[in-house]
Amino acid sequence: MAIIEHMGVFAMTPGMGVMWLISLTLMYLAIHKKYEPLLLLPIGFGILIANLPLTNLMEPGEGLIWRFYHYGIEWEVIPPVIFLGLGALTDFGPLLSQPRLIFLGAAAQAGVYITFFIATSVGFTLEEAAAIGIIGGADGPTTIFLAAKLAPQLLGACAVAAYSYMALVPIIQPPIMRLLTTENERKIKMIKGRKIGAREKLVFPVVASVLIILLVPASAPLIAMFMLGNLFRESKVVERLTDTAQSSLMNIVTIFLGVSIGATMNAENFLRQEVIFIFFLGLVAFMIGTATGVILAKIMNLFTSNKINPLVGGAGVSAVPMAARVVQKMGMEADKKNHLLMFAMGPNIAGVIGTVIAAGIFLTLLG
Amino acid sequence: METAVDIFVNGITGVFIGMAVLYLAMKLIALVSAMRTGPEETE
Repeated sequence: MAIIEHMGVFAMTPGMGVMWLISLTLMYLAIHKKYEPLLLLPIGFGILIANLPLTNLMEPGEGLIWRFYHYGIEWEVIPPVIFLGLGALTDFGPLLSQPRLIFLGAAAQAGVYITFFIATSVGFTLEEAAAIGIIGGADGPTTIFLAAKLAPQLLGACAVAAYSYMALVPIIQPPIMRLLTTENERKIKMIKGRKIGAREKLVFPVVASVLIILLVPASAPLIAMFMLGNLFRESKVVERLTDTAQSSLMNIVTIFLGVSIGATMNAENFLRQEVIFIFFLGLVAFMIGTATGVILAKIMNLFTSNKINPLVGGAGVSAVPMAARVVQKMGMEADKKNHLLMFAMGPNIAGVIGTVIAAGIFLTLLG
Repeated sequence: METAVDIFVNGITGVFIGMAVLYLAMKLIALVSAMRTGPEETE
């Protein structure tokens, strides 16, 4: 009977079964463990439906999810729109009150480039290595933006690695930060920065956009939208736009982003030895980024009397605000009165900018 | 064609240059703001 011949059940492959298990694991982690549920849940479901046979959901030019993927991600729409929302949620105050902390966000990008170098030496192409290295920036939209342009075949693996490790920041970072700091260093109380006026906050996104885009034009889609979102917020005259950017709009595109990313992970693409390397190298990038931030903070302390608690350097990997919360928790473990959250938000936000610049440089040199 | 070493060196240098420029911009914004508002608004 023709209807039986067209049933998907007879076209199942063992690889699809394995992908179902991966999908169910991600959905379990999202629902029960609350690991980045906003992304891992749609990604998990996207994997499931992409690994159901004969659906054509990802058929180029035809499939529903392919359209989300093509117009949303390949056309570079969704990651910049998410950045618009992130900008609307960001307060640059902590960074503006202590500008020197921006260098901690730069130091954490060493993880990106060192991992890029390692990835090329184990056989990945330069483009693939860039997509893997950027996982260390701990910034999902930037990882997706770069991987979609340079190594679309690795997009799913890189995105899942980035979001998984972002969820695991409270587990990955503390041992590294403990290893690189002494008890006394963790007890360092930082001096509060100056008060930041509304005018400074208003001017910064405009100035930062111009400067960054002049230096690294390829970073324009992400930086421009990030700073526009922030300008909405700081202008205080477009509250409806600010609210939309930071909530409804971001939620809508997150749905399309998650499902599309998940749907790129079919068994053929994903069940390869390289994917294990990608996850391993992504972890390495994360760990190096954490370490280099802490180490730079210690180096900066050699030249200043106004000491930086080196834990704050660990927040240089973006993962906003999770990494900053880890710093706060570790600071309070060393001294219950040591509140580091607001100090850590500076390098945390700087890490976002640093990762976008790093991605822009990759695109400039490899795109 | 760029090599991995070129990209590594250019990348790290580029990120630090970008951040240094932003650092200077933040300092400049703070300076201009302090000149316009007077010292009472800064701590």
